Formats: sequence, C-alpha cells, structure tokens
Amino acid sequence: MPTTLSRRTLLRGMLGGATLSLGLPALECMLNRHGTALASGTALPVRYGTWFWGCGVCPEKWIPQTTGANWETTSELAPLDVTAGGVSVKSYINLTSGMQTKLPGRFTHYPNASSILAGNHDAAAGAYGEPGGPTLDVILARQWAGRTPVSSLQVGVAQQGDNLVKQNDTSWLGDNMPNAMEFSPAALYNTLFSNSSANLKQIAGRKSVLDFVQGDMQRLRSRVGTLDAQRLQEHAQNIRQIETGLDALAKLQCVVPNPPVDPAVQVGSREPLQEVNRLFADLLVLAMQCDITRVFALQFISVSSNVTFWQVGGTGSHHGYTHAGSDPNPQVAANARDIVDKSVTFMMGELSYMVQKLASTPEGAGNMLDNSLVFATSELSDGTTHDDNNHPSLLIGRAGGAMKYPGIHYKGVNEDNATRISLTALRAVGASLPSLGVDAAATTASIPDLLA
Amino acid sequence: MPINGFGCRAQACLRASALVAWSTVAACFANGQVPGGTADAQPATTRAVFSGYPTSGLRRLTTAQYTNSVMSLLGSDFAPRVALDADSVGGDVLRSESASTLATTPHGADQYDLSAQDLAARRFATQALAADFVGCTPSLDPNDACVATFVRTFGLRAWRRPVTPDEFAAYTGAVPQFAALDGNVWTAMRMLTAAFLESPNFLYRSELGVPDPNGYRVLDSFELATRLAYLLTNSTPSDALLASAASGALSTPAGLLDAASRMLNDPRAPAAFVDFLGDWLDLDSLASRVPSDPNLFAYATPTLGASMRQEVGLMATDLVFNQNADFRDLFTRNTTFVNGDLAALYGLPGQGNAFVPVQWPQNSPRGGLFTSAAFLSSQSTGPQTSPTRRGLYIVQRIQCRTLSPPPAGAGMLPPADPNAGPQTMRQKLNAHRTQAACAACHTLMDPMGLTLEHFEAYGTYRATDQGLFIDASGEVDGQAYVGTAQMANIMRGLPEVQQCIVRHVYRQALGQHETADAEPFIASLTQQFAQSGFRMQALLLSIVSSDAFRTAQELR
Repeated sequence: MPTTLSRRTLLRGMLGGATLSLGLPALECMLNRHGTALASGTALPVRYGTWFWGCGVCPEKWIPQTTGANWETTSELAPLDVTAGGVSVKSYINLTSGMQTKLPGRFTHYPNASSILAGNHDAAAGAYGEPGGPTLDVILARQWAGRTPVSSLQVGVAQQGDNLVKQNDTSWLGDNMPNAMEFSPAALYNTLFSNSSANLKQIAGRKSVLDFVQGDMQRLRSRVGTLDAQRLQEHAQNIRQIETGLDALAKLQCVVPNPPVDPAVQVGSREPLQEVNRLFADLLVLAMQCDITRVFALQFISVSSNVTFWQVGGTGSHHGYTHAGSDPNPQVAANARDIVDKSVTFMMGELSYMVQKLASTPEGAGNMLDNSLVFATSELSDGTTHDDNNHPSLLIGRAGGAMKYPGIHYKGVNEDNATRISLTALRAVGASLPSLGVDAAATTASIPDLLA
Repeated sequence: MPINGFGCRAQACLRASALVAWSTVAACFANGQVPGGTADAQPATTRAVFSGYPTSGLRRLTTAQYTNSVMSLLGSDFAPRVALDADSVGGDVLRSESASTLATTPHGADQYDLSAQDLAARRFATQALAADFVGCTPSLDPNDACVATFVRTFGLRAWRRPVTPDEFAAYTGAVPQFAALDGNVWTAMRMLTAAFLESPNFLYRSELGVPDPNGYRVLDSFELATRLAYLLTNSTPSDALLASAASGALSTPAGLLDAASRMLNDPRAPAAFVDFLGDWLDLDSLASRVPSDPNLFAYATPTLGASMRQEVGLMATDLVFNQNADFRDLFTRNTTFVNGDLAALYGLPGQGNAFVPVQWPQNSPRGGLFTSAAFLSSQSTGPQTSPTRRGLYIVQRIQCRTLSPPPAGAGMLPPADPNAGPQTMRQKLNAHRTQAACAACHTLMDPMGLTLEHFEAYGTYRATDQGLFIDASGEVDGQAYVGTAQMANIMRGLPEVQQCIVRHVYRQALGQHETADAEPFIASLTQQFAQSGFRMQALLLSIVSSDAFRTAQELR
C-alpha cells in the first residue's frame, strides 16, 4: 500500500530554495508519539542502496582479526569508525568474510560482480560474460514501484571504466539490458526536482498521454517476436511506473535545494571523484529523506576500473596497480600495493561521507541510518590475485530494525556462497523472494547471524 | 588459506590454464575460429535453402536519429532537450545493432515522456506556432475534418507509414478526451502531438515484414523506405520517399537502387556516414577522453578531442562523397584536413577553428587513418601509450577478429620502476612474448600497437622513447614491415580487412552481426566491392539492392 503524505504542513515556515545543508525533520509531523511509525500505523519507510567499487581491497588491511561483535577496526575500514549525529557509525556495520562468489567465467571480474549484484549473469553475451540482471536495486525498484515518485536512482562517480567511458556494471535490468546510469549531479538534480513545482493539471495531462500510448504498445506487441515483445513489455511497465510515480508526486511537497554545479571532468586523468561523490551523496540522501525514492545504486568505480587515484599519489590505472602487486620486482610490487591500499582507504572515506550523512539526519526517534541499508561491496577480494574468496561486503544500517545491532564480523565457512549476503540484504529491507541467483550462485537461505 | 598479496596465486593460474589451452595462437580466437574462414560456400541465390538472411524486428531510434527525426517533423528550431538512454553497450557492437536489442530503462521511458511533452509544448507555445503546425483549425466535433487530416498526415510522417483504421479511430477519438482537461481543442492537439512522439510506433522502427510463400519475411515498401532513410541520412524518410513507398516504386531492387542513388546526394548523407564511422572506430568518446587542460597535455584545448574526430570525418567525407575514391585510401592517403588545434599537435603551420586541406610531405611519418590523432588517442586512458589496447583496437575494428578475453590473473602494465632505468615499451612488454600463456593472444595484438610507438598517447610524434631507439617493425598476416606506412599498405591489401569493411556496413544496414550462414553473402558483397574499385558508395548500393536488405529469416 503506497504511503501518501503532504509535506505542506511539514515545510510550513521554511523558505523555498533552502540549501542542501538544511536538515529536514522528515515525516516528523506525521509520526506517532514514539517516533517509530507514521500516525496512520504504517512503519517508517526503509531505504536500500548498493554502493559498489571495483577491484576489491587489500584483505590483510581490511579483514578484522576478530569475529563477532566489537570487531577490531582495520586500517582500510578506519574511515568508517567515526561518530556522526551522536552515534557510532561502526555500530551500524555488519561485515562479512569467508564467503565466495560462485559464478564461473574465464575473466573473473565480471562474473564475480554479477554473483554479488544479481546472482545471475549472461555468460553467453560479450567477450567477458556481461552482467546479468536484474540487480538488487532493480529487484527492489520493481517490488516497490509506485510507492514513490521515482522508483530508483542509479549514479556513477568515476567516468573512466574498464573498456568504456561511463561503464555501468552495477545496475542491470536483465540480460543484455543495462540500466541507465547518471554521471552528472546537475542532471540528477533535474530528474529529482524539475517536476516538483509542476502543477496538478500538467501532471494530469502527462498521465492522460502516457495512458493513451499504452494502447499503441499493446497493438504493436501483438505483431512482434519474442525478444521485441519482451522489450516492449519492459517499456510499457516503465511507463506504468511513471504514471504511478506521478500520482505520488501530485501528493508530495519537498523543499527544493539550489542546483549543484558539475565539476569539470577529464576522463582518463584527474577525475574529481570526491566532489562528484559528495554532490551525489547529498542529493541521494535528500531524495530518500523527502521520500522521492527509496532505492539507489551508486557505482564509485567500475569493475576492473582504469581510473587514476591521483588523490593518493597514483599516476595510472587502478586495475593496473592491483595487478602490479604481483610484479617480480619487489619494490614495484610494494609501491603498487601501497597505492591500492591508500585508494581503498580513500574510497571508504567517501562511503563514510554518505553513511555519516544518513546517521546525522534525524528521523523519528532515531536517524535515517536506522531506517536504511547500504550494501557496500566490490567484485572480488584481492585484485592482485583475483581472489574470489573472502568477498568484502559491508551491510551498513539497521534497515528499520531488521539488521543485527551493534553489527558483527561474520566469517563464513567452507567458502560459502557470497550471494547469500545479497539475499540477506534484500530480505532485511523487506523484499519478498524465495531465492536469488542461478547455477552455483543460487541460494534460498539468508544469513541469520546478520539479522536482529 | 594465508593471504598472499604478492605473486600470482598458484590456484588462480592453474584455474586459468585448465579452462583454455593458451599454448597456440588459434586458442586465442573466441570459439577457435577466424571469422569468415570456415563457412560453407553456398550460393546466395538458392533462396529455398538459404538461412543467411538477418532476423527482423524493431529497432529503437538512436539518439542522433531521434534528434534528426524530431527536427525533421517539427522544424529545425525544435531540438530535443533531454538525455535519452545510451545507444550502445559498447565493445564491437555498433549503435545500429544495439538498437535491435536494448530495452528502454525507467530513465529512458521518463525521458521520452518529458521530451514529447516539452517538444509539443514548444511547438504549441503560441497560437501562431500551433496554427502553422496543424495547418487548419480543429474543433471538438468527433468527425472534425481538420483533426482527421492532421492524424493522417502527421501520423504518416511521424510513424513512417499510414495509420491503420484502429489507430485512426483511437487518435481522432482522443481529442475530445484530452480536451476534457481544460475544454481547449489546442490543448488536445498539443497532447495528441506528444502522444505521436511518445508512441512506440515513432520510437521503434518497424522492420517486421510480412510472411512470403517461401517461408521468409519480406519488408513492405514503407519499412524499406525507413531502413533506407536511416542508413543513408540517419533521419526519418522525406515526404518524397514516403510518396515513392506509397506508389510502389520501392518494391523492386531497381526502384530501391534508384532511390538510394538519389539519397547518396542528399546533403545529410555525409553526416550519416561519419556518424557510423565514428561508432565503428570508437571515436565518439574522444571529446571526453582527450585532455582539455594544458597542464595534462601540452597541446590540450577545450576543443581538441572534437577536432580530432572531425579530421577523420572530413577525410571520410572527401573520400566517399567528394572523390568517390577507393575507400582503402583512408588507410594510406597522404592528404588530410587540419585546424589550429591539430596543426599545433602535428607541428604544422595554421590556426583558427576552420579546417584546411594539407598534404603530408614525402618524408613525413604521417599519412592515413592509423597516424591520425583521433585513431591514436581513441584507446588512450592516460599519458602512457598502450600498444596492447591499440593493437586490440586494430584487430577488432580493422580486421574484425574476435579474441578470447584474457585469462584470470592476467596482468596489466606495471607502473614504471624508478630504479630500472629507461625502457622502451617493447622491452616492458617482453613478458607478452616470452610467456606462452600471454603470447597466444599478445602476438596478435602487440606488434601493430608497437609499430605505433612513434606516436604518444594523444598522437604527438616522437623520434625516440626516452632517448631509446623505437623498433617499429612488425608482422601482420605473415608479412613483415617496418613503420606505419608499410603496415597500412599491407593492411589495405588484406582480404580480411576488405571483408571487415563490408561486415561493418552490413551490421550498420541490417542492425545485427552477420551469422555464419551469412558468410557467402559477405563474400559476394566483398567481391562486388572489389570489382567497384572498393568504392563505399558502390558497397552501400550493393547492400541496398540485395535480397538480404528486403528479406528476413524470422522475427527476433
């Protein structure tokens, strides 16, 4: 049942055009006395985000020596051991080791990523085995379609990918169907807020046309082959999503911040990763706070990324540095390993920026991190050896109370299937699905230790 | 298992070698096949058993096609203002092919909707604009003649075919329904226009065809007009072409040939070809790949990447449309076009934005596509050259070979060792030749990339590499050469390269990769291409007048 709210009362007394730094007391006036649910009895909305980075970690600087609660903070995770909004961010983190991605492939980066992001990949397509789908964000966007004006948001920070500029490995609708990924914060702003002042008549007009065009969709679908019927069905479904989103929009009011300005990006050299990431994080958190969407996927860097981490002294491809960790010259190897370590630490700092933002945004009796789950993950563990065991995943947030709190370090046994982590994340935020994944990645069992 | 961050983990190496036999060069080709090498020789004329026809279905307009079509329908002032879904999944799959398979994402559907609303609002912004566009005065009468005319005429132009009776009823019937919003018939006409532009009948080109007695599907005249128009002008069919379709003039190969010959003289034809070539040669990301900051690259300007791409476009336009010369001259020609950006990079006199023709001197290291800044920069991801990426680029895009992906645990170029002293790229890549697992593929890619080592990542020339001699010798298809000019000369003579040109035109025209069954057709097209003296215009006309252009195997 969609939750519909008018923010008019909520925003009374606030000036239009308020900036991003204004913390909105989201949903406050609608809450029950305990601040745990809406006055109507509906629970506060739970949000989900995938936060992906390519090429893994340095496991010796990532995996804590101790398991269970009170796991020791390792150097690469140190940026997440902070206090924000008066709470310990670390206490919101459940992390896993000892799990293995299961989908096979000759060039392992891509099937590894598919194992954790979808449990499914299209081994037949492309030289590398393209990502399969739907990915976790798409599964949730479909299950929750119509609850919010925008079903989900997909953004990419680094533009330099492996083979492509603006390569999207993180969000796929299905086999051979990459989702659209936004690399411009200014464009994301337009998606989110260009309609916010739309009057009801315009919305009604848009809806009439969308509704009418479905007739053409149906007529055409009856004449085409299987593949095209599937494509048109996907398109028609997305049109229906716009319609339900418009219904939600008609009832929504939210303070529109000032538009961000995109920093200049030069692909292949000094990309402003920190600036772009923070603009995106601000917009995504605000979009979830205003209940414009409840699902996002953020790709910090792609699978096998060739981005340069100039911020930590890198002068070439990140993927290149991960492999140079096995250079026969020990000095070259040590230097490369050091750059990789600093790059991973840098990325965890950027993840921490968003998580801190969620933790320091009050909501109900707690904060937004209480009602969110950020699934931060990579395609493999150690980029130098292409190690697909000890998959580095972080589940950050309580997901409305579903996740174990304070968080633990869970160590899987016998190279257990890492897709179970993904299924755990989906179920924690309330998705209902009997299983996830295909072939060796298929699983029906989430990880009970990670749940409250 | 202890974590060992240094050195190749034995298990990963074993796993890689167990999966693929990396010991021979043949193992490097995906499926163990060199394209075109093994197909049965089956004459393309035996229609009853020929299974080499393409599949048929819907092709989504690319962003350029959407833009061109909208501006053709509404007027040149009405450029779309949205960011549609990406056209391509990348790799060696053309946009034209991705258009046959890509789904429209939630973002894409939203953009189509916003764009249709925005375009209609602008076209109906004033009473004068609206009246000019509709051409008559509509009313809310259910049998209004003006509305009926508009639905028939705009429907034909927007959907590239006459509207069906069902569609006519639905669209004329929508006017009173839309007007319910504010009682204004012009509001309804605006919404009707948005609906035409948001309809799948506009966004997807129909190439469905109808079943014929031989069990194939045959494209109708309007579908042929559409296929022709997007191939040769990258835009919607003109009113004249739609009239030809209606008259039945396109239903014979001679009629198609005649229409196509006229369209090759259309002022939009060169831009359509250059759009295709940019996709084929992966030149479209140059504007974002090539530095614009002079601190990163001495010759950087904000327009350098775009200038590079434009040089190749001008060379191709000159070759194909002005001279109608041997297309293989693209590899070997000693003339080009430069503006100020490129003159500086190439060390030539000249400034300003305008391009002027130049001839490379006899002793110049440059000449032809391979030494153009665009080609040399296309695969660069930083200031260091990558002979492997450049070599793979030639293997895939010029030779049409498909290589297997690297094995698990394959390495990348190590960063420079500060204590090792200067090394040429050939020395740094020694392992690619000495280690059997690497050599299987790298001996196919690296040599041509190493030949280009006289050119830095963004195309500047260097006589030496850190003061060291650059060995630009190499071998392709068993023929040894020294330097890019000799390499280019060998390449233009290779049947594989000539066929690769044909393959790309086939993929562009028909929106899909050729199947193994289509090899006889590719071979026959290549023969005709050779007989024409390798004229691109002749190749386009051969494809257009072929059976495969009109006939499909089955629905996708």
